[in-house]
Amino acid sequence: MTYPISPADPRVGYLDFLTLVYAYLPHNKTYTPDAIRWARAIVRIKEQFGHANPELFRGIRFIEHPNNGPYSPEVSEFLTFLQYGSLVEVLNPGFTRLRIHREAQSQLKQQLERTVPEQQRLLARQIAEAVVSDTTHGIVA
Amino acid sequence: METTVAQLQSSMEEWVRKKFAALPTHQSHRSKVIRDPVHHFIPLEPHEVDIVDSPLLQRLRYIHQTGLAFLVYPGANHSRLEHSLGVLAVAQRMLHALETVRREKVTEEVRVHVRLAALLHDTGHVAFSHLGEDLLEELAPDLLADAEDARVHGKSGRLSGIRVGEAVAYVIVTSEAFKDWFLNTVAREHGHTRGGFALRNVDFHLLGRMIIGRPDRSDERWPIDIINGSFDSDKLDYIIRDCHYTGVRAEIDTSRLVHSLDIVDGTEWNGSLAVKVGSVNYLEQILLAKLTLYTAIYHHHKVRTLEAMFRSIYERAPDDSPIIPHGISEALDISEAHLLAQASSNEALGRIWNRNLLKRCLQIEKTTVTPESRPKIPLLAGSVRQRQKQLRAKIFERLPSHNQTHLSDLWVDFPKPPDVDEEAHACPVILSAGTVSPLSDLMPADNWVRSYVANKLKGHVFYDADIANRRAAGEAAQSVFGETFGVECVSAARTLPLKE
Repeated sequence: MTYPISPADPRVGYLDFLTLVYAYLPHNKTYTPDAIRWARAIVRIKEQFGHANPELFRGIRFIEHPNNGPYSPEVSEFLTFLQYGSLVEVLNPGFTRLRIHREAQSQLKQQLERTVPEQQRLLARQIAEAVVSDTTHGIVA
Repeated sequence: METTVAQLQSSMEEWVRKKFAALPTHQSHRSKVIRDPVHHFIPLEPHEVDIVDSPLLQRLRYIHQTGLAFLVYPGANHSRLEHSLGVLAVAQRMLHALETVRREKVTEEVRVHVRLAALLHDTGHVAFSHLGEDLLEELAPDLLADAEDARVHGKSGRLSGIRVGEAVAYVIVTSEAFKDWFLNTVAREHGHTRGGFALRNVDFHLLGRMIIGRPDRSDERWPIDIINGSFDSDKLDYIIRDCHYTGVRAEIDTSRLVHSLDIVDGTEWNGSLAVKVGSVNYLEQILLAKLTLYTAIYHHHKVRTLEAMFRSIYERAPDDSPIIPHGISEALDISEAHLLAQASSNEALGRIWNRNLLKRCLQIEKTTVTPESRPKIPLLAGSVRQRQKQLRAKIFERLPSHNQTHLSDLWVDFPKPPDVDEEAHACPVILSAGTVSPLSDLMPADNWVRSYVANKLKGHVFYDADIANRRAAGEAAQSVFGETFGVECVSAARTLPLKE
C-alpha cells in the first residue's frame, strides 16, 4: 500500500490503515465505543486478512489480559483520533454508542480517494464489511 | 541489533554475567531503612539491600525518571532507582492492606516475590527512560516483530505486545547469570528471610511474569496485579513522584485506595486484585492525575521539543558514533553521563544541554484548523508516526536554501494520546452484592478521557528559533499539510506559536 508522502517508502502505519478502514464503515449503523471490542474485532480481521497483508497489522500490539482483552494501545489511539477529528459523535450521555459523522467521513473519503490507489481502497472496503458483518466480535452496538 | 527474542536472551545472558563478574562473591549487608521524600522511610531486608547495591539497580540511579523533562521542570531530577524503591514501598502497603482481609493469601513466599519484582521491574530501562525506549524500539523493530510472531505461531509468545524495557527486564531476571548470582551470593549469604522463606526457592520466572504482567495461573494474578496491573504500585508511585518533583499538583488518596483492595474469588476475574465499589472515585482521581501529568509534563511543548531534538541527534549521527548502540546490551551501557560528555563534540547534544532549543512554528489543534479539516487530522498523525522524515523533507525543501539549517532542525510532532483503556477495562470492581464488574461498566472512563484528550491534544512543527525562519517554516508546513492531507490551518496556527 503506497501513500502520497513518499512513493519510495511504501510502509503503512497503523493509523493510516485503521483510518482507511473507518472511511468505509457504513454510516447508518451505530458502533460501540468499547476499545476492547474494537481490539477484538481487529484481531479477527488480522486472522482473516493478516496472512495476505501482514504489513497492515505490523505495529498494532495486542496485549492479552487474563481478565479482559485483548487490549491494544494502537487501537485505543485510533479511537481517540476518531474523536479528535470529530469523525464520530457520541449518541447518548452514557457514552455507550458512537455514530459516524457522515459529513466528516465523506470529507475524509474524498481525500483518500485522491491519494490512495483503487486496489487498496477496495481492500479497505472489504475489511470494513468484514468488521461490520461479524456479529460475535463486531463493533456494531 | 538483536532481531529475535532468542538473540536478546543470549546477549543479555552475557551482559548480566559481566555485570556481576566484578562483584565480590561474599556480601554481608544488613537491613536498611532508606529515607525517601515521597514515602518517608522505606525499610529494606538484607537480601534486598544486595539487590539495590547490585549493578542492575545502581545503573538506574543515573537514569532520569521523566527523560528530558528536567530541562523544563528543574526539580524533575528523580531517578529510576528512587522510583523502584517507591514501587517497593507502595507494593508493601498493598500487601499490608491485603493481609487484613486475606491473611491466608499473603504468604511469606508471595511477599518476598512481590517485593523483589518491585525492585527489579525497571532494570531494562535505558538512558532517558521512555524516550530512550522509544528510540530503542525504532532501532529494534525486528525484535518486536519476532516477539509478536512467536505469539502468532504459538511458540513462547510471552513477550508479544510488551514494550522493550519490560521485555529486557524480564530477560534479565530470568537469565541464568542473574539466577547464579542470586543463589550463589545472596541466597547463600542470607539463607532465609525473617519470615522463614528460603531464598534459594525464589522463582525467577515468576519474578519475570510479575514484571511483564502475564500470569500463568489464577493464583498468580493478584500478586502480579500489584506490580503490573491496571492500578499497580508502579503507577501509584510514578504519579505521586512525578508530581512531587515537578511541583505539579494532582492528588491521589493512596491510603484510602489500598485499604479498599481485595482479591476476587470465582468468576472470570478469579484471583485478580480488585477494588471495592466505594473506592471507585479514588480510581477516578488516579486517571485525572495521569491526564494532568500528560498535559503539564509529558506533552509540554518544551519537553516534546527536547525529545524531538534528541531524536534528531540519532538521525544525524554516523553509524560509528559512540552514541549509537549496536545491540540492546550496548544501549543499556550508554549512560546519560556518557551522552552529556559528548556535548562538547556533538553540536546537537550541546544545544540540548545548553537549552538552545527549537521553537514552535505551527500549532495543530481543534481550534487552529478549519472545521472541514478536522476529519483529516488522523491522516496527518498517521504520517507523523510512519513517515516523519519524508514529511519533514517535504516541508524543508520549500524553505529558503540560505538559512543555514539542517533537515534535523525541523520536526513534526503529534504526541501519542494518554491511554486509560487498560485501567478502565482490566480493573475489577467488587460491587455491594459481591458481584464483579470492570471499572468501564461503572464509569465510561475510557470515553470520558478520550473526549478530554480530544480537546487537549496539540501537534506542532518545531524549527530553528530565528523568527524569520520560523515564519517561513510555519508557512511551508501549512501548505504541505493542506496539499497532502487536506488539513487547512487558520492563521492562529502560525501566530499562536510565534508569541513564544
